[in-house]
Amino acid sequence: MSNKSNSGIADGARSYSGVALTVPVSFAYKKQDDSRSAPWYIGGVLRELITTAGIAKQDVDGFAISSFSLGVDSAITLTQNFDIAPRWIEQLPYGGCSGVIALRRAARAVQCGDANVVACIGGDAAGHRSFEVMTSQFSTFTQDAAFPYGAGGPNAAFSLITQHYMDQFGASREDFGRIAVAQRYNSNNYPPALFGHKTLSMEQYINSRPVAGQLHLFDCVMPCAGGEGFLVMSVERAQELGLPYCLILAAGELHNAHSQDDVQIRGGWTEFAPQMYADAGITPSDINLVQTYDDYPVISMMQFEDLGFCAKGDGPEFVRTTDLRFDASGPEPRKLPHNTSGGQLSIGQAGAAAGYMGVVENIRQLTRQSEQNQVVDARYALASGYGMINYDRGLCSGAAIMATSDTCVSDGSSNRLGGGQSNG
Amino acid sequence: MGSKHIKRRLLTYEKPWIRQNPKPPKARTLIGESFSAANYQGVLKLQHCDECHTVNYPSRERCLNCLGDKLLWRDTPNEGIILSTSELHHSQWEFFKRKINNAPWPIATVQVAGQCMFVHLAAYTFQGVENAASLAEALPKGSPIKVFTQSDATYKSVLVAVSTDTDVRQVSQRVAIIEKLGLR
Repeated sequence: MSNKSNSGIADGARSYSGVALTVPVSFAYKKQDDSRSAPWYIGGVLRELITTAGIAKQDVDGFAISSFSLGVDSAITLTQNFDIAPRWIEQLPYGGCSGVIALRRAARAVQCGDANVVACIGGDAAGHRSFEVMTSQFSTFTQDAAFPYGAGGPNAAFSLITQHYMDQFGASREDFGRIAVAQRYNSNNYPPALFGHKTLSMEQYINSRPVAGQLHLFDCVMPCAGGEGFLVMSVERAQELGLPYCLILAAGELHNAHSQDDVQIRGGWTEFAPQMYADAGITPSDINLVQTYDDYPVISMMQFEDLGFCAKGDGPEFVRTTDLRFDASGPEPRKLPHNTSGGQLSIGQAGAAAGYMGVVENIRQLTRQSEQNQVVDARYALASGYGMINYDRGLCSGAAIMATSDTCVSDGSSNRLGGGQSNG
Repeated sequence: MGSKHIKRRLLTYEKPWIRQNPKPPKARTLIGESFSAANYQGVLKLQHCDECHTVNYPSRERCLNCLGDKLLWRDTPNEGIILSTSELHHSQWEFFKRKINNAPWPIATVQVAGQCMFVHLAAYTFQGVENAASLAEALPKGSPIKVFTQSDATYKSVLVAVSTDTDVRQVSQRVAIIEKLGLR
């Protein structure tokens, strides 16, 4: 399972130099809304992207979207809906990994000249009972071989993974609670979060009502409506437009990895993370903030391990000794701001938009557009994606290392500045 | 769509709580229906690849190993081990919601014939489960189990895990367990 089979040309091919990520948009999070469907959210994000960037709708010539609630609509039908004429189009049905994959695809499109400005958007509606209908028909395997057994949806699959992880590595509910409680603290400083107005203590976390096995209420995300989006363009274009932007140092993805593991304890990150850090020229200890895909705390813990922040099985110890708050205000000695806007656990899970949340939050942080929850002096940020519980495990894994616009980016042959230093 | 269809859709999706007798989920894909049909007789029938003899589960149309399309439903040894267990305190489906009102619904993933299976767990057939602090403590990973298939209230074959000393060779024995679980 090597991702570097073309290593002869890979050095040049791997670099993302010259690509800018800009205009982070988080849009219209709402608990439930029967009156609006996915195009309203996706179109709303698109409108905010172009008005913030100060470009015309026609300037968006690349269009990548993810949504679970489009029904019979798709990326192509939305082009008529919004009257846009992209010369590059993608629909990414990769759930929690959609954002990282969109970033990779769009960056290559910009580098190759297939598109100049790519809008990457995740958006989902949340109609009455829509979540139940979606989980019952999520995939063939789900419908035939998982849903009939208690119809627990993702909670059931993840309670099994969580129980197994706890037995294997000695994690306790308190360990998972540390992740959830720190994220709630972060969301208390991020007003758009749906739970931003509510605090969460470890006691409340432990005493919350059980949902499935070891999973209790605050281990589970709340399905909601909302949209997330960002623009991908060349560094030159971003500078022309005067937009604060950040860069991609390296990225990777690997799907359905470790299928021989009887229960999921790791994802594809283990295979590509070493190469990703090598490409970026940094190590995990250089990362200033990290956004993991937190559909359940156990998955965040796996990402800490697989992305090299600690060894496999050391996740529980890692969260006991690491302060995950955005402002390093916790008592733990090691500091690693994590899911700095609160993540899905404290913002809400807006379907496929949740897969864009980490990337968008990183762009916001690295371009210093975060408000109360700004991480001070962050240079390197990691966004990780995980998604698609087809049956007993999540299949997609992806991650990207992003950096502030004044960071040096290798273009494979010689070092050069990835962008100007004026924006930041 | 006829009015009968619309009414049924409303009852199933929009207002399942007004149903008098909610049923377990019955929607399956075509290949899922084949699993049900193949298992109307016998304890456990799974797809065996005619070319490479790989056992396939969940059911599919091409072999997961060689991608051949000749998958035959064959009697399969039904002994296996627990991978992980869980008790559901919440369900998306009205039938299980009402069951859970009385007691959490135990499920498990088990490994049988090398494949991972979601199963209903007949916890009462295992000794010591009632006195254990938790299901996971009584049935840790690797605990031996047996699975069988039997049709539930919607005439779909479902998998149930029982202790290895439970006899499930006769239809009447399997039906008794299904009925005790309340699946019929």
